[in-house]
Amino acid sequence: MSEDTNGPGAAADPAGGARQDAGTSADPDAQPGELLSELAVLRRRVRAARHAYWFPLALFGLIGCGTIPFYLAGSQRAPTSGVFIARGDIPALPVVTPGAAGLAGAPVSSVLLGFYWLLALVGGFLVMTAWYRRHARRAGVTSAARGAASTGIILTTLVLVLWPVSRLQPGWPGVLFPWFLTIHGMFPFLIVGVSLFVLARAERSWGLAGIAVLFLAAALVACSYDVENVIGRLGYFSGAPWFSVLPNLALPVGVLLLSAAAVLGGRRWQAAR
Amino acid sequence: MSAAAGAASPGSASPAHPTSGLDDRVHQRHRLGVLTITAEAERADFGYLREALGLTPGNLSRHLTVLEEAGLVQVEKGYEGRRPRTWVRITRPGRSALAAEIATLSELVRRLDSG
Repeated sequence: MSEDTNGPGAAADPAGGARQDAGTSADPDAQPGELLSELAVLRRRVRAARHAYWFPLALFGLIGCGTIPFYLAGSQRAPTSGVFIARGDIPALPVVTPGAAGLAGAPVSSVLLGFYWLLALVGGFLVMTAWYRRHARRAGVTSAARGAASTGIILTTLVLVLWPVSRLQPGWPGVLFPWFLTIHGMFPFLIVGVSLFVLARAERSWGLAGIAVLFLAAALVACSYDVENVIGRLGYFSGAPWFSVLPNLALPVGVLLLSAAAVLGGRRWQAAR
Repeated sequence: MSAAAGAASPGSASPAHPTSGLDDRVHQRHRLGVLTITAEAERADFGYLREALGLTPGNLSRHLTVLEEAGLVQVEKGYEGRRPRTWVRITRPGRSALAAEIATLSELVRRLDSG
């Protein structure tokens, strides 16, 4: 579709006069309404060709799935009393394990999980940028997705820096770092949510903006509430360690993966029509 | 259509006809198409523009030259691997010109509809 056939400066096609003459208003009879309708159709076609956000939704959904072993391992570990740290020798996000938090009332940080999230978020945003570059080469139109990736990386770096700084003085954490969002161990999803909003703006997509709202709501619930309670009220309860972890994880991950599948399915269905 | 074509004569109290706001460089179906596509995307590839607008390379090239000389688009030539690639990006004046054109066309439609 998008091979460069000479580009500007190419010799005019001998048959070009039969198509349109570039030097004049070639459509004096065009009605303004007709012209506006054509432009609207063109705009919709470009937007459809440009949209490629199913991939970041799927990517961050899969990244979320990748945390399952780390969350499970953390939830099975016996909590040490009152420890709420990220070890200083490994750069990791201050992610705690929900199971440990629920059992002891004192959350325990999981360095491996924090390290995984750090690498996965930064790597995910870089892969997202590469994906949009590839899509632009194939589709011939580009979206400014770099802003969304930059937002995600900057937020990740801020958390990484603010966390140790916030522990320098007693009383600082509440000011510098929203620690209450970390106690269920799901706050990295909030970073993904914010960057999805920025991506929705770059994509000029109300659909993605809606997904971002839904996802951020799911992430906030996962960050601040024990989803297992809801399942318990519905009549199912398990004392297994996974029961305190997976429902919280399933909420944001489910929104991402189901949205990705729906968006991709919709695109294929439209292409097949 | 000249920019001054529909302007009210000096001393006339009647407001200028909307067509006086039309810009010759923009008021052309394919150039409007180029501006619309590049306003919708961060930038558009030459091949995409050619296919979307149904133009020959030579014709599209001439339209782009008009728009580029008017400062309404920027043309970036480069390579991807060994393949030449040309990207077109709308400028701020290009966005303004497109918005003005759309506003003028909308006003014309409104006048036509109101009889």
